[in-house]
Amino acid sequence: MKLELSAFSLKQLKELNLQRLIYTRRYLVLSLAVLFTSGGIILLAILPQVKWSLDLRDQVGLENTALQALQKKVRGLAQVSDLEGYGSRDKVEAVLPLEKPLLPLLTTAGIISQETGAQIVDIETNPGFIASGSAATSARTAQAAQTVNKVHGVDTLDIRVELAGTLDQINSFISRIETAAPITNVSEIELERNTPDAKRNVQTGDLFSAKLTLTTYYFTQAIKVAVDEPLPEIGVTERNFLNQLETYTFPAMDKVNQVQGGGQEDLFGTSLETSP
Amino acid sequence: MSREINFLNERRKRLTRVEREDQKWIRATLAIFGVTFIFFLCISGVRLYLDRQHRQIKEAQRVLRDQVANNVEVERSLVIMVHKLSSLANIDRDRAERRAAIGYFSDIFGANVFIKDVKFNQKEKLLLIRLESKNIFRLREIFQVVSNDEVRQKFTSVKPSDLVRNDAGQYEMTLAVVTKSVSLQ
Repeated sequence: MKLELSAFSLKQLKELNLQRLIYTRRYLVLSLAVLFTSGGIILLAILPQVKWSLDLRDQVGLENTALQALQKKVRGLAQVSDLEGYGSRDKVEAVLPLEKPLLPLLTTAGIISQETGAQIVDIETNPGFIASGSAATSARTAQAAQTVNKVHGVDTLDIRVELAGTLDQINSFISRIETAAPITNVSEIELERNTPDAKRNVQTGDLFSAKLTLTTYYFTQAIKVAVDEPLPEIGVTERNFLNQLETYTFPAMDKVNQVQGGGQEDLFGTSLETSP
Repeated sequence: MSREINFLNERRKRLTRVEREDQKWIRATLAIFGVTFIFFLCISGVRLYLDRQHRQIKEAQRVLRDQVANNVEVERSLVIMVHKLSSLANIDRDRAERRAAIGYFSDIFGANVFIKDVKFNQKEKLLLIRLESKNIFRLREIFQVVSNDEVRQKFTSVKPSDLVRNDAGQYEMTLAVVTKSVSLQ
């Protein structure tokens, strides 16, 4: 009985002591609770938010840069027609076309030959190179594709022209064809004097034959346009070339807009042969 | 001399002192909590502001992207034109270098030497000039001239070679010139 009482009293005393302690140090307990709450807010709410905010600030900075680039691009696109040189795009297209410019080159060579007096004696072309990929057999196409020469990112097309005339006429032909559309480079010149020594004429000049390799170019690059890419700018060298383009000659070419002889019922005149 | 012994009073005094100290603690911690909470509100405000700004920028970007996409044909034609101009300018520069090199050597060779053959490899920027002259001594002079330092400084490389006498009794020589990084005046 005495033991039970003392055990009861001990338990009661402990609870009483704890309550007493909590009551007497209630401000301390409360301040500890406030301190822990503040720590919790710092660890769980403030620090992650600071990190997110810093990341977001960086992201906003990047997005802002992208936005400014887009604004610049939209402004550039709105003013593209006023851009120096953009109005000359037809001339640029004529000088460096998207297809093999065999016919324009032959037309230009013919016109310049007439104007300079240098006679075109012979023209050699390489059919394997001139035929388009779709027109050639697969084997030939593969072979031609391997041997297509690329210079400065554009494909080249070579033709051989043999000229006859005086040195001045040949020189004039060379300088004229290099400043005419399509852009042509005389990559090879073989000169041969045709006049025998006994028949040399000082006034008219000696006659020469010149074998020229004319290299012309056409543009086949695959161009990708991306929304986020900035607009390309025309550099100083390109502007200088655009100025030079004003001195180029652009031979007029007749465009065939309709099939000649189309719609005839008897195209080869076979009905005349069979009629009595 | 009698001494007054009052344990309860002593105890009460001690508790009051502890309580006052504890009250100081709670004031300090409440101040910390207040500062923390204000900081929390500030950082939340900043984040909300950045979120809003981010959304506005994204929306502006979307509108601008739509405008760019509507003008894709104009952009494509401009990009093609600029690429073409770049290639044309390079081709033209090669031609100018070739012309300048031929003009330079024509002046050096003089009237007694005939330029028989000119080949230009645009990829290698290699210019091959075949010369013909009746006078072997004139070709020897040219050989000496093109070997001097002044000519070698103007071109990456100048190599005379293949000196032969042809069936017509004329002397021929080949000059291989690399026009890369040429500074012609």
